[in-house]
Amino acid sequence: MSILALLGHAWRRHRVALLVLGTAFFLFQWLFTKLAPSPSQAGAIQQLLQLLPPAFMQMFGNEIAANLNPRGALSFGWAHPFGILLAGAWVARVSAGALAGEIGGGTMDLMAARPVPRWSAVTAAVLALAAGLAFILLMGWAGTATGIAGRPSLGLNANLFLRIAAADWMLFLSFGCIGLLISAAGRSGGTVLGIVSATIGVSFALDYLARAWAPIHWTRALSLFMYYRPQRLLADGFAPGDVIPFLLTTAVASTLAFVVFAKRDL
Amino acid sequence: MSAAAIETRGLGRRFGRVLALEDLTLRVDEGEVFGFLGPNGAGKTTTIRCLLGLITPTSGTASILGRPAGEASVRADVGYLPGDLMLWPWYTGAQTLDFLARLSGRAPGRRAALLDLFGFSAADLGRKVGAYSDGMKQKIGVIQAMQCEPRLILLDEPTKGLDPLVQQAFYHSLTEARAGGATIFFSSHILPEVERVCDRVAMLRRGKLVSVGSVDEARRAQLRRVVVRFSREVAPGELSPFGRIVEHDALRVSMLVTQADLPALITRLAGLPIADLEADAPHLEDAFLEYYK
Repeated sequence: MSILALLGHAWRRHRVALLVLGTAFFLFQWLFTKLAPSPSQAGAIQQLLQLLPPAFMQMFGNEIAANLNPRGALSFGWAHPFGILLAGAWVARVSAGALAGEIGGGTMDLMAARPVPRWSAVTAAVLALAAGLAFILLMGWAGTATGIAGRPSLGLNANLFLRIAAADWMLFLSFGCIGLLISAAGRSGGTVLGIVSATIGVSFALDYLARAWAPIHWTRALSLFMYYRPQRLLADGFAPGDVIPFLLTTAVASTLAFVVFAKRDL
Repeated sequence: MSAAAIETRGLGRRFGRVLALEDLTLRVDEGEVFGFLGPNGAGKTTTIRCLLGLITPTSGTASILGRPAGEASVRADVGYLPGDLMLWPWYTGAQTLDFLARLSGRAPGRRAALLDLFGFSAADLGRKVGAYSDGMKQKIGVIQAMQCEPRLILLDEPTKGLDPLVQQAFYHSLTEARAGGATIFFSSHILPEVERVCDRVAMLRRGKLVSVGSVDEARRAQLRRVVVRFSREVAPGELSPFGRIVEHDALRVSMLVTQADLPALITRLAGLPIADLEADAPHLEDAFLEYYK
């Protein structure tokens, strides 16, 4: 009962942001299907790429070449920083607002003085986070699917992109649960928002830099983005290595969030 | 003996080096209106937050309505108004009351009567809380604490921000809640209101309980100021055995006398040439000031 009431509270609090983020993600993915090269265009560009100096090709060209087909271009759209920004904004907003945000705003006292077990506040936050994230990512998938339906020449099956949306959901749910753990220990929503945003940003940057610069390649393992591989998901489907890091992070972070929030003073 | 609505034994809470509450042993019976007095930082809010399980005591135990404080289920029977009330500015008044009633898990049976008592119109309820004045927010705070007819109502500085007319409505709401069998525990700085509505009062000072008893007992325990005017000169030493002489001149003596010493003083005065006699009615405020000066 209290979980439903808390979910309703989260909905009223975040519904405008949710609709804006979902719509933006839909439009962004739909736009990518418009920009993606058709198979014939991709072949011509591939030939042009062969004319570039070998050093340049070694540094950037292989990645570009891999994306120069409809499937690659659309999967790149699912790893684009703009999409990361949208999903990250939801994760940071909900995880910071649910616990630390209510404490910092002084409203947690009113809720916690009622027969609401502490675990139900964390459970409601996890559910709001997961459901909102699913909505945003399904809106993105709907953008991809709508675009593919409008361009049969791309020759793609939209359902395959559900794999990417699912992996994206697991990735950001992991970040969300890390955010909830920080929020469970925090006293100010603003501070938690900043820390969660920075965590996602640093993780993304670390993965990108470690891929581009060999001396720090080993640091990729520290970033959750390493385990999010849209192109491979399209080609091969899910492997245990694509799922286990996210499940593990989600389980550990959410369990710790439950424990920390149950023990703390409000 | 009636059941205890609140019972604490050796309750204490330390924040780092600061001992905010020390060894509080207190019992509030069901159906009582209990005043909790003390200056800022005395430990009143800390006590209430320990009772609600919002913070964990570092020593001692507390129970409310016969169950351990901090147990979530017991809070279904508790209404609470925080001292620093904060509300969700994007909710309307009605949404605020609905949400908090849903969390309580009880029907808001007294809401309509309270809205009427505090003069809330449908238009007021439909407005966003962010647009409310402080007084309106405090009224919503009082209503949310009492709307579900809780058995125990904890109010931290409830009349803060209420104008005198609304304060009267508030006192009336307490009377009605009490008539319905509720126990009311409230902290306040406003001594006349405590005198007016409370059966018993406890006074805290620097985290320690310094006094607990009925309002009458607190008054009676208080020194009373007695001013005697004589028609001819009387030596102050004639009266000094009966109290503390504060000031005197040839024909006038002002002194502080305990309730217990009053009969002996009056007997002694009967043999002296009295021209006039004044004895102030004891006030809780005097007791309060005596403890905290």
